[in-house]
Amino acid sequence: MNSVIQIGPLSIPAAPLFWLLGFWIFSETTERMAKKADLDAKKIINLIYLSGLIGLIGARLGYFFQFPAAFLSNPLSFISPRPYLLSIEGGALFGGLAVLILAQKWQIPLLKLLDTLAPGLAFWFAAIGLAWHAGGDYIGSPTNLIWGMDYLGSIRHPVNLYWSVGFGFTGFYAMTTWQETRSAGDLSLGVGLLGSLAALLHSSFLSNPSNQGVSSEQVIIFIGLLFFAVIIFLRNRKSQ
Amino acid sequence: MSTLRPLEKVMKYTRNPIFLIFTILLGLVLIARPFGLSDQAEQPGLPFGPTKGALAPLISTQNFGGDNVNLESLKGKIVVINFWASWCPPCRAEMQAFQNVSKQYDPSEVMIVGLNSTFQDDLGQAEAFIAERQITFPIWLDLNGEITRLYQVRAMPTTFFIDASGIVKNVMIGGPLDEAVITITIEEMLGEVQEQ
Repeated sequence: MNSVIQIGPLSIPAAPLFWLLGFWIFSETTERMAKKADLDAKKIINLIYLSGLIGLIGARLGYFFQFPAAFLSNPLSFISPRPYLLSIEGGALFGGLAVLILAQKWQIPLLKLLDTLAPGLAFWFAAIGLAWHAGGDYIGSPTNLIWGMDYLGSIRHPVNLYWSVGFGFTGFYAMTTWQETRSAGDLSLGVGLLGSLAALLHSSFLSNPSNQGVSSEQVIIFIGLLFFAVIIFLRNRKSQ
Repeated sequence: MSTLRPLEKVMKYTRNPIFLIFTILLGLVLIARPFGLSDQAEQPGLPFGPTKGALAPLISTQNFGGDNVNLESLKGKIVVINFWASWCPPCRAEMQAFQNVSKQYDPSEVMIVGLNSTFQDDLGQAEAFIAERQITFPIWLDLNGEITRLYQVRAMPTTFFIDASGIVKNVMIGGPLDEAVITITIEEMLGEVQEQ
């Protein structure tokens, strides 16, 4: 789709804007959740932005370590604001580690913190689905369903919207079921469980012209789903 | 918030073991879909389209010299198609990076193609610009806007990275792109070829 937002002479690709919009919704939601959880909202916001910045550096470092020669011959590329050469794995690793280290340093209880972050993260993931949709990433399989989208010569499952709706619902679920009495960690586990289902919904309706069976991605997501379900079950049994 | 209460009640069941089992079963149904629950048979082969994961739409046009050129003849090579126009400042700014990258690779392996939006450019100015910058990689012409429409190019410059089997691997809208971005994207595609 390669959607572009035109502002005067400026043409801005829509996909990175959805990523940024998602991050903003994530920080706003987390601030609200932190207040509900009686955590220091200012501290949590600082943690988010600092971890976000470290995650961004980690995302670029992910590419730097893979292709050092290309960066060394063009050092300015390392600080390029263009949304390319950003490794999701590197960003998640550095950002995740930053959250853990800062939480420990600032003495924020980890499970309570995860519960605070979970709904916002689900909304961010929902926005990422919209970014994929705008960028034309991922092709759905052909369908006769009325909500199918005319795309690349066929009516297809709008897989990226499935992802967005799934994660949007998950975030909504997490926001509305928040209870202060619920034991710490329950909410993030619930978000993990429903989020896995949303991810599975996305990967199961992807175009598969070579008729391959179950993909490794689906297996990994399903293992994640099982993991969340088992942990929730065990925790409930323990609390009873 | 009172309108959300019924939903809240429903959601409390998420801790119920029956709900957990239902979720797992739903996951299994979603995974099993490729084994026969598909709602419409999928045509073999990838669809054509200017997006990631699709086959690059075929191009048949002319170059600056007036020779007929086409994308299909480049199959088996990694092809980078850069849509540009001489009036577009970021296009002009990134042209040198494409020239430098084109020198790094064997043209039988990686081919950079500049696709001039001739229908909305001045051919004389475009030629003068290419001569002035001493660009040596092929420049193809979009004489009537058909290729721009086919590739759904909505902003200049836009660059398509196409792998050796003709699949669009990356689309970069806007510029100027620097050498590192172009080189690394090509190297990633070359890495995929080696893995195969």
